[in-house]
Formats: sequence, C-alpha cells, structure tokens
Amino acid sequence: MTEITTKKIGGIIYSIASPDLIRKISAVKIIVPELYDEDGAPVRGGLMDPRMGVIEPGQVCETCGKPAGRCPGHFGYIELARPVIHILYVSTIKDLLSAVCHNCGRVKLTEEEIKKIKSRIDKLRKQKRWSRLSKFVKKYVYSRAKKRSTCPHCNYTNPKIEFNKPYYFFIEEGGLKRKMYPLEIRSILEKIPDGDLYVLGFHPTYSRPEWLILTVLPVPPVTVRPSIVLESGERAEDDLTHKLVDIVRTNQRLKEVITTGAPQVVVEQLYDLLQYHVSTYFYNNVAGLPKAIHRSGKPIKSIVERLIGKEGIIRYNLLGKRLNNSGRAVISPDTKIRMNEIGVPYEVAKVLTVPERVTEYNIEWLRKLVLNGPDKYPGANYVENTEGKRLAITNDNKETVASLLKPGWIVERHLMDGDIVIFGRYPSLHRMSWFGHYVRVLPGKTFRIHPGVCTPYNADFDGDEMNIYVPQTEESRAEAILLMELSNHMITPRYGELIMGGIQEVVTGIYLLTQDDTKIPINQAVDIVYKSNADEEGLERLEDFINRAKSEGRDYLTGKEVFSVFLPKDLSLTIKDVKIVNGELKEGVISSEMIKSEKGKLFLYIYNYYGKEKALKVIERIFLLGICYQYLHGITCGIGDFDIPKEAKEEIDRIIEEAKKEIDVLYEKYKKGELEGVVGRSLRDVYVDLSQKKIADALTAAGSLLIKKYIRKDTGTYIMAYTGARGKLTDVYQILGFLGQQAFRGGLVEFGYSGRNLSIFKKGYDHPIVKGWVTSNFSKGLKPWEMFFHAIPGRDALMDVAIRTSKSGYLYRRLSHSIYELIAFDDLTVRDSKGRIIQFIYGGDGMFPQKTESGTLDLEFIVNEVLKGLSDKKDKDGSSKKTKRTGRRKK
Amino acid sequence: MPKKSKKKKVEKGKKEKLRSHSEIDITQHYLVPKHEILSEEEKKELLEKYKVKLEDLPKILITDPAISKLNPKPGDIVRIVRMDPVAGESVYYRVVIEE
Repeated sequence: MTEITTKKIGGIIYSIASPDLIRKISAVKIIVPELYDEDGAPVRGGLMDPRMGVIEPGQVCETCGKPAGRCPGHFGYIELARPVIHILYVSTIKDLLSAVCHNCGRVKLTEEEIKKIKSRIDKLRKQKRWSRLSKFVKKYVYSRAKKRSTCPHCNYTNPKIEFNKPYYFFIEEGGLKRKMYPLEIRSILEKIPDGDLYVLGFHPTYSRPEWLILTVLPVPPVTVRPSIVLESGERAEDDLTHKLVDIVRTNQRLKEVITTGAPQVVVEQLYDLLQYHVSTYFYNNVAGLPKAIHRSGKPIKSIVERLIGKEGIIRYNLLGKRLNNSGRAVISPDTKIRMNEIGVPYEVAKVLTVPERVTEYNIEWLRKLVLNGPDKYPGANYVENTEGKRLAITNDNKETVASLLKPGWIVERHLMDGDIVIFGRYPSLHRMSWFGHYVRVLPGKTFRIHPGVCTPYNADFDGDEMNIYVPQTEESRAEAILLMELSNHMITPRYGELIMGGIQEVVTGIYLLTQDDTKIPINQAVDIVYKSNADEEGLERLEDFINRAKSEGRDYLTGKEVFSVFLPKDLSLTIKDVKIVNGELKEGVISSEMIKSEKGKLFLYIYNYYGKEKALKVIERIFLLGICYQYLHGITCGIGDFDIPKEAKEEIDRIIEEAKKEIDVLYEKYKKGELEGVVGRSLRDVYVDLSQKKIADALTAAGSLLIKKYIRKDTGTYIMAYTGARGKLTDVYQILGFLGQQAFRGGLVEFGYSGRNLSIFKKGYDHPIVKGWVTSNFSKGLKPWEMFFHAIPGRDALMDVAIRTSKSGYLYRRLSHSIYELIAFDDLTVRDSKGRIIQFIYGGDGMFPQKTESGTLDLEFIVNEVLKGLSDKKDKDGSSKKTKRTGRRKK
Repeated sequence: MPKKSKKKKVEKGKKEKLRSHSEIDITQHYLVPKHEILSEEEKKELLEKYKVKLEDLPKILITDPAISKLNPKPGDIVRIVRMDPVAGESVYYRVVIEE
C-alpha cells in the first residue's frame, strides 16, 4: 500500500486567466486549421494534436506519458491576430470604460471618495460579505464615476461612450461617432493603476481588467471534445472542434491579410468575423447575433450551453448520477402478501441481481442457476472469477461457465423470494419513506405492496410509482435487515404511535364485526378466519370458541369471538369502553381509534408487550379479517343514502330561513350603528363574527337534526363517516344541510367589483348571503352565484398548494441539511460532527418522542410495569440484576 | 440628490426614538430568560462535566443586550435558565466572545 498523505484545502480563488497563464498551461500552439492529414493521422499543430491528450485506447499521451483514460488532457492555445472581446465580459468592460478616465486610466473619483470607499471595501472583504461587496461597488463606485465626464485627476474631458449590442463600442470625438476597437479598449484598461482597481472591485494580484479582452484563446483538450467514429467509418467532430476550426481559419486569414497589407475594409471584415466566431464559441445564444449553425442548420452548442441548465453538465451529469441495481414501477395493492414483503415482477427479478459467493455448500445450487442462464427465471446474469474478471452469461456459454464454476467465484443471480431490498416512495419526507422489504417474485408487471404500508409511504394506487434498490454487499444487506426492515419503524418518531394499521374498509369491517349483535354462522366464521391467514395458534383458538359455542347450544359465533381469534392468548387490557380479558374481546366495539393507522391503540399495546413480529402479524390478520367481513356486508356509497323525507328538507329550510332573518336583524343594527362594540375590534368585525356564529350554529343545528331524526344509520355513507374509515359527518351535513360560509384568505369572500362580488348584487350590501354564504346543499345543487362562491376558495387552495409544496419542500431540504450531522449523545447533549455542543439536553427535556405516547410518559405506569417485571423475574430465577432504568426521565 | 437626504432625515428621527426606548431594561422583560455568569469553579466543573473545550460551547456576543449589565469578559460562561411550556425548565450555557 502506498502511504496516503492528506492535505487540507485552505481556499479556492477564482480569477480571470491572463494571456501568460494560458500560454503557460498549454502544451501546444495551434496554427493549422486542418485536423487530419491524408492518412487520417492528426496534424501536429492542428486542433486534434496528440500532445493535447489521447482518447483512443492503446495510445500513450505525448505530454504526460499516460494511456487514454488516465491522461486528463492538456490545453492548447491560439495566438489571436488581433484582440477580441470576451462576450461574457462585455458588461464589465462597458462599466469599466465609463468609470475610468481614458487619458490617465484613473477612476473618475476624488481622492477623498476613493479613501472612503477603500476602507469600506477593506471591511467587507475582511467580513467575507462578497454579495454585499459586489452590490456596494456597483451602486456607489460605478454609478458615481459614470456620472463624471471630467477626470478629477488630470482634468481630461472624457468623450461619450456608446455601446451597441452585442459587442460594439462607439466613441464620440468632435461630434463624430467612431468605432472603438478592442485594441483601443485594451490600452485604456491597461492604464488603470492597481490601487484604483481595488476600488473598482478587482483584486489586481489575481485579475487585471485588460485580460477581459482576449489576445490568446485557450483550446480545451481533446478529452473535452472527443470525436466520434460513426458506423459508416466517418469521423464526426464535436461542436467545439468545429467552432475552433472556424476560429483558427479566420485567425490565420486575418494574419495573412494584415501582413500583406490588404485594404482596410477586408481587414475589418475578417476582424469582425473572428469576433463573431469567438463569441459564439463561448455562448451561442446572444441576443442580436445570428446563431452559428452546422451545415445541417442545427445550431452549434457553445461552452455555456454545455454547462448550464437542466440538461447541462452540472445538473445532468454531476448532480444527477444514475445507478445500477435499482428499479421503478407502478404499484398496486396485494393484501395476501405480508406487510414487510414486496411483490416483484418476474421481468424485474430477471434484471436485478444479487451477487452470491460460490462455496462448496452452494455450488450445486448456483450451478443450476447458471445453467438456467439469463432468460429462464431462477437464473443468473453474470459470473466473476477469482481474478475479478466479469463474464456475462449467455445462452451459448452457460454450460461452459457452469462447468468452470468453483468456490471463490461470484455468481450474480436473479432476485429471489426472501432477498432483502430497499423500497420507497418519493418525496421521502421522513424515514418511513424507505423500508427494507423481503422480495416475493410474482407474475404481473407492477410492484405489489400491502395496503397497510400506504400510510407511511403516503402512497395510493392511482398510478403512483415506487423505487427499489438491491443491496449488493453482505454489510448493506445486514443493515437493511437490522435497521431498515419495516417492523423496526412501525412507530413514528414524531409522536410515538403506530403509523401502520387498518385503513379504509378494514376499519368499517372490524367495526361491524365487533358490534354486540353480530352473529356469524360457524361455517362462515371458519371461512373468514381461514381467509385471514390464521396460523396454528389462531386455528386452535377458533376451535375453542366453536366448542364453547356448541356446548352453549349456539350454531353461530359472535363477531367479538371471531375478532378475538387473532389476539394474543394472554392479552388483557381496558381502553375506554373496550375490555379484553385473556385474549377475548368481552365488551366494547373496536373503532377507528383502536386500529386505524396513525392511531391504533390496540396494536400499540400488542407492539409494546409482544414485540414487533407479533404486532405485525396481528395487524396483517386483522387487516384481512376486516376486509373479509366487509365483503360479506357490502358497503357502498350512493345517492340513495341521502334520501330524506320532505319534512326534513322543510325543517332544514326553516333553520336556514331563521338564521337569515336573525342576520337581517343584525345587519339592520349594524347599519344603524346600534351594535355593541368589543375592545380591539372594529364594528364590522363584530358584525361579521356574530353573523358567522349564527351561520355555524345553523349548520350544526341542521346537522344534529339530520343525525337525530332523519338520516338512515345503516347506509354505507353514514357507517363510513361514523367509523372514521372515510369522510366526516360534516361532509354529510354539506350534502343534506347547507354548505355554510365560504372562507377566502381568512375572511368573507370580498372579491370582484367595488362594493360587491358580482354584478347581480346591490352595491354596498354587506349581508353574508352576498359574501359567500352558500345556503344550498350538494344534493339540491348550488345556485349560480353560490357556485362562484364555492369555486373561489377552491381555486385559491389549489394555487396555494402548488406554491406551498415547492416552498416548504425547499425549506425542509435546507433544514434537514443543516441538522444532518447533529447527534444526540449518551449524556443527552446534542453535538455536531466536530464535538461542539448545540443543545445541553436534547430538545430541552431529553425526551425522545418515539418512545413516548403523544409526547408524554406515564411514569407511574412504567415504574409499576418494571416492578411487576422484576418480581416476576425474581420468582423465576431468584436474583435480579436489572434495576430501574426508566426512572431518570422526568415528564 | 434631494431624495436621499430626505430619507436620511427620516432615519435619524427613527434612531432618536429608538434611543429613548433603549432606556427600558430588557432583562426585566418576561420573554428574556435569566442570564448569569458562572464563577471560575462552576466553569471548570461544567467543562469537566461535558468534557469540552471552551470553543465547543455555544457562543454569545459580548455586546448582547441580555448580558450587557453583567460585565462580561470574553471567555466567561453565561448560564441561561429558560422556561418552556412543553419541556419545562431547561439550562443552557453560552460562552462570551468578542465581536
């Protein structure tokens, strides 16, 4: 091993390249516009000169002696016949020309001003406030110097400079306009003394302004602009090479024309052409310049266009690296696989591989896989021999590869059942967006996930796609299993409750199943228990329940009994009305509070007392049970669910009418100024508050009337809303009662014309009925203006969401990156990677929310449980080593 | 430049107003937690407890208004006792640094 020396980079300085620097870093001077000679060999002194690096394998670089791939490439240079303006620096040149005296080269500022500015720049430089510095220089130095035409140093009256896009400068001399050539501009810039450059924002040691005008053009190495050999054998050159050829050719012609003393017009024409070529070589998208094109008419890609933008080198290649052993596909649900499994299509499993080391124990098995080849499913795609050489398995060579196989080789076999993969969904906003899943290879073309894991992934099946990564080393697989596997992350670190649990019909199914009067015939009960994937223990318990029912003379099981089949045998707990004794649900209905995802009190209890594996099993079984029972019932949502008698409608209309009248009275009072004011609120605020309260009261009155008297309790809609599976009761109110006040930007709908929302209303009328109160309901239909009222906040919310997601996403990215390296240590301090303390106690109280219940710890309960555990242990082995360990944290 | 001078005059007026406000003792405000400077012994103890050097502690500027009345020297450690509605009382230490 060679010894590794480490060095610390103190800083990086960017500056403008001087002509001397360009010559110094170059290996070649380029003078010939031709690329290759008749034999096809690159011309020396041409743009493909081998001294600028090699790209074809087998060759050795003449400059550094390294083969292709190791040779980084070397610059060349073109000595320009006449100086040329660098197109990306025109604005700087323009500013300098107007800020500087053309006669003496000093800034057009008095000594006093210079002194002041200098001290300010010194301060800003010391504080490293670069953006402030650049703003300051632009605002106070250039703008002030620009205004002066007489130089305060030599009293020379500077002529007016006119700038014409893209790179022409004109000077007014004695009332005549004259073109200013780069040579002249350069000589002015050369005159600027170093002291004044400092004031102008330059650092004279590193950058001189005359370098903004090119006299020497650097030529990038061939590795930057490789030529491609087409299928037809022709060579196709890179865009940059084409452009450089143009530059060299024009440059040579210009040189000849100057030396032979051709007429001024010809020289000028060629000079302008050179300027054009050099400009479009840097940036081919300049306003006012025609785009340089290929013979085909396709515009040439300049250096700037190469780097910039989404498809540029920086964002596409450097920040957007792609990787192997990964995949992406549409997801669809599958309740029959486990929650920590993922269904992978055969097509995907045949491409993604796992490297498996050949040993004498698995050689027979791996040989079989190799013999299957890359196309037959349990096969293999690659082998790697002991020397590390990779060989693709094909249908032609699979027999020979199989016979060569011996211990020490590595076989890249297809993905198989039981392999661990990392699976997740973007945007990955929390750590539960990526889990370790075990593979199940299944027919079909989508990834299959258990619907129970939709909540942490925030996934649904309306076309969502998810991503898979296959770990390639033993270490990464071990990490994926031990750290990332799904059951390790069922509890959210946000507030310490289970994130996974029943969703949608599971909630209704279990709710209906555990009603007091649910009776299930024994054969049907057995059926749904089997369908719910019952294991030995479950079947045993089912048998017990059936025997008990038979001895009691029942030919049915109660729903509570069927539910209890999947509970642990010794589970006893009481949560609110729910009472479970020895693994049997005795009292209470299992509602959304007990089993719904992100709540799931019951599952949390099982998780805490029986461990993650058991909890996962119970969740999966109860999930299936809910679905199966729900199938027997059939829950749908239809317009028939909202049939209410005529009296009901009349009664609701009466409620609305009453509210309207009450608000009319309020309005009258408000108009007359008889309303009682409240401190700190305007009279209108009081009026709005009171009228809004009347509307809200009317809505709840209508709602409770509906619930109490009219709505049928056995409809799918009501059950869904009541059990918390989907929808809320307020949605029912909106369908049958009325919509209520539409809020827009935290107030009434104040929108449109002056004094009124729509032209159909009276001007100045300030009644809620014209300010967004919708008195119709969804089943009756909205009146035209009400539809507008309803659409306004709807559109507003839509826009708001579109803006907010991007804003909050960026905000979250910045936050997470800034706390990325912080670690909470054993002594509860939070420190960064250099050991600096950020917090003395994590979060101010040392609490880890994941280990709490909604942010609190029931200390008494924990101590009791620990003591109970201790006494149990004492009974068993007589001694107890572990003393209290949870007592330290205070609430 | 008549516009600019006008602006500056307004700013000056503002500053005068602010100056009169600065007579209020902000350390008495209910939102400003209690600041106190540790003795040499306490300082040693603290650094020993957390096994850190002075520069590894969070910093506070010597000009911070909350400690201006305490006569701080660079290198002093300030103890801040904060009340948090959720987390309760929590103690924080910051080392005084020069500007």
